[in-house]
Amino acid sequence: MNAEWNMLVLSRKDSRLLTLEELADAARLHPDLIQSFVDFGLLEPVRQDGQHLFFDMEAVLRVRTIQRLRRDLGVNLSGVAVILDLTQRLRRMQQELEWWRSRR
Amino acid sequence: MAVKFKDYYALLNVPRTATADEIKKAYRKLARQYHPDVNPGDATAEDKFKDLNEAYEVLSDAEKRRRYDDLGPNWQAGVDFTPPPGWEGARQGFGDFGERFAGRSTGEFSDFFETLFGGFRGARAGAGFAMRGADVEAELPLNLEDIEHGATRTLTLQAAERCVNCGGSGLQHERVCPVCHGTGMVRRPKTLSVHIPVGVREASVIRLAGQGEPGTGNAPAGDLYLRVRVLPHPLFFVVGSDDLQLELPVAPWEVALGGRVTVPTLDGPVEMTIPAGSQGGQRLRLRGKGMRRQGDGAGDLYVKLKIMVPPKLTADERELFEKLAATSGFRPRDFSTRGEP
Repeated sequence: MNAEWNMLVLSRKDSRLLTLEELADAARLHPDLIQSFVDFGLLEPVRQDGQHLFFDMEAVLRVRTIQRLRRDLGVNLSGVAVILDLTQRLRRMQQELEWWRSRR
Repeated sequence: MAVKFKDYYALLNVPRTATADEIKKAYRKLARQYHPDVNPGDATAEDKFKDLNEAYEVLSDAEKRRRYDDLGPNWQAGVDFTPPPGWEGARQGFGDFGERFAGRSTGEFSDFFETLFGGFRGARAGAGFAMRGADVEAELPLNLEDIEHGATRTLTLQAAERCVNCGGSGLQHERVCPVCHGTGMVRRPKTLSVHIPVGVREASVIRLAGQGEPGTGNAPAGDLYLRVRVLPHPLFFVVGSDDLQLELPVAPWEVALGGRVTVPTLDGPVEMTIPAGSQGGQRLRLRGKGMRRQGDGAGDLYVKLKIMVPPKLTADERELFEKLAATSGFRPRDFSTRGEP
């Protein structure tokens, strides 16, 4: 196989927090839309500094998921919130089940 | 590699005579069922969803559906497919494709689709069209040892790269590039070596800038997002965000009399004291022996005692247990408050 090797070392920059504008940029959405996700409780900043909100990298994928659910399935924001909560719960239960099964 | 025929009607589970409305209904139902975001951890759902999107892209568009139907009903899914004469010239006239594609969630259709309807990218590139590459998400399975000590892991992805033959334009000598079928991109395995920082957790996200799909024109590549998935460990179970739990098998006399035992941790075995009179199911805490945090400190390790008896008693053991049974005044069951014996 003609595999190409890329050595990547993560700098501190990759683990730092994102501002709302940076999150919008990473998700390629308008900051106002991100703000409305926050207002709706779909997205929680990990830190708040006065008016400024800060998010972790997980928020980027969460925003992408929100957008996919809205676009692909036509779900509204309340529906998205329910789906996100339920899938997270499902995921946790699957992992617990996996762990118990692996011990047999 | 030969292009395989895809039966779009079978994928949507509708007859070839289905109306536009029936097709839409079938698509919506299946899309809900197989959407990757509502099927966490199910890799097959994503492929199924891609197929559905592709089928719907074709069958929901009257023009594309007509062209697909023109191939005739005698094709079997999976057989080698070569487009009939005349298809080459038919690539023009789908000018709106680029935008419709960009809006799709998976963005990637099969070679079969590209062979029939592809080529939009070449037309765009020729007009100086530039668009940043798509971001890519992938799972990064890690075991607890990797997370505890930090690690360098290699992962192989089916990544899109700019087609070398046509330089990403999709065109070669003003004809559709034979290598990438006009898409300007080729898929091939790409191996990345990724350093895992200490302190990542389940669902943590690591971003590798510029490692997503290549852009068109002079636009930059997208980013690659790796979502950490913690593999089940044979000994430890993650509790909350930083704590671990371990089930420790102990002999009855070890808990009755107390004593020192050796306990495995992610950083090697440590000694622990079991207080005399400990009970089965009881959790003892080893402070700071859980998972390391990103900055300083670590969570705790909870050691849950599980009392075991020898599966087969020797004559001596049997005698001692019988003696204990005869002399002990211990009553482990007291159901009197509930009226039981």
